[in-house]
Amino acid sequence: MTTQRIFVVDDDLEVLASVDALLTANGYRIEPFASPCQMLAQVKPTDIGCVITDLKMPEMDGLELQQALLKIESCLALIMVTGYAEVTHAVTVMEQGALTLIEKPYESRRLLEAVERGLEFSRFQIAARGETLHARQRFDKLTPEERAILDQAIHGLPSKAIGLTLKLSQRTVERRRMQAFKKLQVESVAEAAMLLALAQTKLELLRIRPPPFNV
Amino acid sequence: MRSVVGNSGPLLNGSKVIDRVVGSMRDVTQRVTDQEQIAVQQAELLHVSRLSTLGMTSAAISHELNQPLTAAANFASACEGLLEGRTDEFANRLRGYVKEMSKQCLRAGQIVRRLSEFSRKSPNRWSTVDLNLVLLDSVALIEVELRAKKTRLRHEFSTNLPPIQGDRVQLQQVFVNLLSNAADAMQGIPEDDRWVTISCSRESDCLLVQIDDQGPGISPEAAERIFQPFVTTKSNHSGIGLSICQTIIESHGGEITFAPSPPRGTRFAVKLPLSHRVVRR
Repeated sequence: MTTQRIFVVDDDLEVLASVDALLTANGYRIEPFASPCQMLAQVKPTDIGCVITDLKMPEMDGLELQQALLKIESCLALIMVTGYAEVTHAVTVMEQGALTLIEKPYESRRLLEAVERGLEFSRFQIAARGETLHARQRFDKLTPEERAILDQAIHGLPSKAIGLTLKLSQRTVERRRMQAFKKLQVESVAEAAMLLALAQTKLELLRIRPPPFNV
Repeated sequence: MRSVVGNSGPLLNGSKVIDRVVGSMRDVTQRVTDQEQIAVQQAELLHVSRLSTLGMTSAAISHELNQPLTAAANFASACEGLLEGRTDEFANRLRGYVKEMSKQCLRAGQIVRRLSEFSRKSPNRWSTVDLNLVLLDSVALIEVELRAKKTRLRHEFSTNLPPIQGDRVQLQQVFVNLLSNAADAMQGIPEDDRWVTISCSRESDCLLVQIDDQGPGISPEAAERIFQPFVTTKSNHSGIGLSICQTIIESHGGEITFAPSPPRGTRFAVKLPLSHRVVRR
């Protein structure tokens, strides 16, 4: 399994050191950064884990860091930390798919729980994205004819009716349908329909956060 | 009722003998009303600034305070984490103490939060504002101070600026503060050179106010901490002015910056957006 990374970004070096101390004492390994640019230079789109970032920073702030991560389609969960959250900022942070927003100073329990939830969410997200991409790859292998037949079958039409609309013999329809099943690695129309739903999932939707654990 | 000022004096003839007496009477009612109006505005500004200073001060310093409080709370919790699994008497006592430390940090954080919420609950005075009028008011309010500081003022306002949304008195507070700072910056140079320039213009989707002085400029060390509260290079100031200015301008969705203004002096620039979603702070 890929290792999980925890990035911490804060321009206040004392706060940065204290988050490092807190998470290290609780068994995590973190990578501290004094600026978002330094962090972005180290992050890979395939990284699993979470980012704990301050909102207010000179040069590049937390919101801009969040946008930069969205741009590279990062699956890292984002925990925004701030001294005072203006309503407009809070709404933007959450709309851009942050895991949570925590006001400073906070109970350490809240940060530790957010990290745990963030790591799980990041794993979930990368797995879900992998499944969707894999399903899309399988559908891409179908010829247009196979796809047309499969679509009608999924809509509930029997082979005979499909043959009539597409002007094909029932045997050809069935042969092509079997080829499609083979390429998709499914054994029934129902399975093919489920795979199609997965392939059609919008990747952005995978950003929707799971509800928090009971606290 | 009208106010009148009378003057009179003798006129001497060729042999230095009083020939006639000349007198004049001037109606100064308008001037007196103007001065009274300025006095009223100054009093209003002072009153409001007293009211809002506590709130604005705490808003300005809450970030500064929250940072060390967060660090302290985190370090205390880290100790707690390191003590996990240890059950000896020493560890138990230490655990109790560091738990209490975290709790006290959070308590201090709540006090700071309550203070800055106090400022956000102050009555909403937002309205549609003509920035030129705000600047003219600010200039009128600072005139006496500038005269005392032997500083002259030049203004270059653009006409027909679109209105903005904002708190007139808070914005006045910002410009009065910046003008006063500009005058302070020039106390070390010859009186003839003490010029403050204030200009206002439109720049795509915002209004730009620039205040230039001819002073010696801001040292790099001072520049780094200039917006931090309680940082000042003046012996008789609290160092809260610029951090309040920044808090006010940011609450208007704008930004305040400064840069050297060649050939000498400093330029403070205030950018205020034409449209800002009004959110109660």
